[in-house]
Amino acid sequence: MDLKSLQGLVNRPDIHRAVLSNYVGPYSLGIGQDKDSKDPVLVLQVPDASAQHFPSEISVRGESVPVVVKSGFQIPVPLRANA
Amino acid sequence: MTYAKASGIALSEAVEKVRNAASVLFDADPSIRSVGVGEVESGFGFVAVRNARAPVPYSAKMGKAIPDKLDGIPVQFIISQADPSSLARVPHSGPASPGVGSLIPEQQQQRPLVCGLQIQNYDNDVRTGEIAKGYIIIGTLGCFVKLSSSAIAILSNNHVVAGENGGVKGSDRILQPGAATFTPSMNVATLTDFVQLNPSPVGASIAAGTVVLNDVDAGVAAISVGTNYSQSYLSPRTAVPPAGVGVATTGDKVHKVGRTTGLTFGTITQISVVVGPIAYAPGGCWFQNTFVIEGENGTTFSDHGDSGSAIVRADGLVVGLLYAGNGTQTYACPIDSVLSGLTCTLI
Repeated sequence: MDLKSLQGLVNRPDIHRAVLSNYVGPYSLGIGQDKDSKDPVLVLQVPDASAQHFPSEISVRGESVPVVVKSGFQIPVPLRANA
Repeated sequence: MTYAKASGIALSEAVEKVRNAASVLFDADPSIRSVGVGEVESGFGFVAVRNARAPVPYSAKMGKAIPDKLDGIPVQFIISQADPSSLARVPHSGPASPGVGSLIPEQQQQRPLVCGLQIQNYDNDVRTGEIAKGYIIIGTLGCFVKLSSSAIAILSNNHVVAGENGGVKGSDRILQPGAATFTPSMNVATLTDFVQLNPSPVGASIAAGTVVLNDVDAGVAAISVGTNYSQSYLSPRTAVPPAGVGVATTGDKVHKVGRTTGLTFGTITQISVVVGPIAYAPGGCWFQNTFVIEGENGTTFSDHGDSGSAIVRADGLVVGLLYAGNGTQTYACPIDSVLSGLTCTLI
């Protein structure tokens, strides 16, 4: 799937349901780039990727979109003085 | 603090191996908070700072042995009584107060105003009691914009110039660099506008359609009459200053100048990111269309106090406004959303 099409989909509830299933907790879902093919991929970041099964790809409008799942995610904080 | 004596080795050797050392030491001892390279008796070695008061699970204490040498390089332990804390909620007086002995020139009072300088919403700090507690809240002046009124303004985050929705438009005074008492010579701008931060209910999820998505964390403060400014950096900074706006793309090489880490370089690794919930005073906030930057060669791109920095591409185009981070990744909102949200243009 091309980048522009994927950008229009990434904040949709159905996409988040497909990637996250019943996961509850902080996360980040965005678009990265495959190192070899340079194709856009979905990048899911969660604190513990082994906590549940996440898909390695999802089907969007009949096209397969790879999902790269990264562990060790720490929720960001506003970088001012005091939280 | 206590120091363990050890013999040392060449600096270059220690620097080359510190990442592996950090991995081993953090894994072996959950009370370790930092690992670096430092001077030991006759050379250099690894220096690990351990928080003696850190609560450590009993199971962790029974785990791996703590090495006193790694790859033949000595490990020196420093005992601390606390964790590292936020660098941008700073005491307003004393040795750790802004500007005292700092190596970052952006923390000093600088005129004309330039991008990257330390700023404070003084009135919000009074209102929220921060000054009474002995602190001031500071962030970074991102860049300069022209408002719909044609006034020239400082662009930064809502949480820097507008107190996370608590700022009073047309009244709150912005100081550069910031102080515990109002200092007229530091008053450079007045809070003019900000984009409201909208929290989501606890437990909200995008999958359930219950999240309120924010586009930006941004605010502007009109520069005071007679205050000179320049869309540039302080002279020691050799990076290309802001000159135009662009769109962030994965792989873009970018830089920023911020109040805490100064000039840093990184790469945009993700775009169109949805992230949350991020802790703000009004509540947990989710953001969409955010992009992520990671520092070059594993370096830190940003830290507390750098909020508000303009993210600038290597060709000088501003692509975003830094607002959050987690130590490894820096989060920025796209500049076109910032400018449209505040009805302003980059000068």
